Amino acid sequence: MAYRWLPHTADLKVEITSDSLRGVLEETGTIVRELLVGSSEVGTRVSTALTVSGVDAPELLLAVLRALFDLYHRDRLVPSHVELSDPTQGPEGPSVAGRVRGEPFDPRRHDAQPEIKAVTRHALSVRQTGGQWIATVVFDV
Amino acid sequence: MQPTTIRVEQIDPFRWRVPRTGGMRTDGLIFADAELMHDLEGDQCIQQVVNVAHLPGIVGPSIAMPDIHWGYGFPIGGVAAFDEHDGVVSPGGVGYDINCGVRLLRTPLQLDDVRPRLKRLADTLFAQIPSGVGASRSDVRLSPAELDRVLRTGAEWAVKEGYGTPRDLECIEAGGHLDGDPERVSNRAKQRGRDQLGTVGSGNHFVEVGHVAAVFDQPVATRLGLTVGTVTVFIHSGSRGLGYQVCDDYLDTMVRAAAKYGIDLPDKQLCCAPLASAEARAYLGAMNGAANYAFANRQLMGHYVRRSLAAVFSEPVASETDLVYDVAHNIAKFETHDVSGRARRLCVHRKGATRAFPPGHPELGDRFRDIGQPVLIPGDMGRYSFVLVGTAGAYAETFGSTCHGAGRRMSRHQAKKLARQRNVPKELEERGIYVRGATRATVDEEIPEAYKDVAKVVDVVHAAGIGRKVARLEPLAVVKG
Repeated sequence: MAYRWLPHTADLKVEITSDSLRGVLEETGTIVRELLVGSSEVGTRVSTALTVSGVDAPELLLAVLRALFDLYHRDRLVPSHVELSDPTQGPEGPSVAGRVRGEPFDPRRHDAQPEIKAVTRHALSVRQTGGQWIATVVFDV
Repeated sequence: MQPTTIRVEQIDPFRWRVPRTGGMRTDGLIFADAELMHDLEGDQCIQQVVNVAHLPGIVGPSIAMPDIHWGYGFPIGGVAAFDEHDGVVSPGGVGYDINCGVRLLRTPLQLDDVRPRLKRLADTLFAQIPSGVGASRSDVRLSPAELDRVLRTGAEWAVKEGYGTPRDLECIEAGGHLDGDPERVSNRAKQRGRDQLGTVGSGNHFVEVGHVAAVFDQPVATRLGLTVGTVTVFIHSGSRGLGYQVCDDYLDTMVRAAAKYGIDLPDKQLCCAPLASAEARAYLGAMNGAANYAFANRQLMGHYVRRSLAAVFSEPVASETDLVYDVAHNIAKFETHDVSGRARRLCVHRKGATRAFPPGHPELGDRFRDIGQPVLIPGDMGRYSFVLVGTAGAYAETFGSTCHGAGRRMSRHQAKKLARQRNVPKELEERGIYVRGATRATVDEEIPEAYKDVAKVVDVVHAAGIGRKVARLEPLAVVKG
């Protein structure tokens, strides 16, 4: 699993690479952590269940990212990492379940980053190429 | 739908045409000089101008201002008008920060009055107006019924509650009040907005103390009270988490609506619904509610600016501090425009673009009817900002719109990398500008070099006749989120 930031003038664009869709989705925990608190260390004393679904793989990725930001806006939970099951295919599209581990934002230890307004659908993609899953997402800042 | 090369033809020194091809329903029209056009190479914003031209019911060209840059769906700095019967409304054409906008206050103070107490004023503003990610106020917590009143009546609610004066309402676009429908705003959005009223937020939002450094149009500047040396306060903010959530909620609705109504989209983020549909009516009700929240938000911040001036100077200084104008730059509104000699009611989307109505426009109050609508164009925190007025040229050519700011020229990662080894607040302080930021990261991302020179942007709109320069302001103290 890996991710890298791609050039974007005003907002933030990330590319995630993994050998599985589950890996792409789990990488979101690390990405959201960086977007919220940069390189600050984040503990794992809080664990919360996560279940999301989408009509297709890009919408599923969007839903996981939105759920992580929602946990921050609602409970100030900064994720350390995300553990998910393999996606299962239902009649209305794929879904995943798992846990988010992290801790509440602490301004003494966490270096707050500029606010992410939203996870956008602009250039949102998840594709499988040569055994690799590659996803791109743009965040509005 | 994603051509690899886009043909762009120069019309004159400040206009470029993107001819209609493929599924485009109209041309693209970009306002820029050769240098600004050169800066756009490698950026996807021209492709986005093309994509917007594909949308149903678009009237006139897909327009881009000289501060255009890569957005999501619509470009930032884009203007597009849609016919009320055949056209669409798109949340991506408004943006997440609904009614993000700018407010300018002028104080009775002169530069020399402020210099000795500038540091204290910066600290007081920083303390009085919460900034940063998720900033909230403990002194303004709204009950559900009060929040609904904010969503319905905007800045009027704030004035009724004692945050400002009735005169303020005369100096706000649309009187600070659109036709908002709280029933169309989700509970989640309301929850996010309940304790954020009166906060500046993060990113490129700010409160900036400045002074009038140059005047280009003496009679208009005098009418606006902007003589050289006058100390001013700029506020840049929007609808905070409530607006972001409204946009997110309705993007989901519009993805489904676009499929339902068979609208072919070159980019999913352009999702939209016919203006005559239930989905569009619901979005417009919610968007107007969020816009009202933003008007009230800036009205409260204006109040806390006055409280800060009272604390650092005196009560008379606070009470003599007047609102120059407050204008939105992320919004969609129904307006009547002359199109080929016929008056048509259009839904004008301005995303990173400012309304710029000319002298004589019936929507302008008596105060501005003979000079045109004030237009506020913030720059970066190290250089300058501008005050313009709307023109007949803008009304004829851009649906009464002009630019909104400098526009970024450097990515956030590039800016942070450039700032890493520097102490940006110290550098600015050595130039007489005090910066107070909630986080170092925001200040670093907002270094002046990250932005285009706003003077070049403003010179283009002035030369093209879609805005007229009135005054240049220079910063003295900046509070960043």
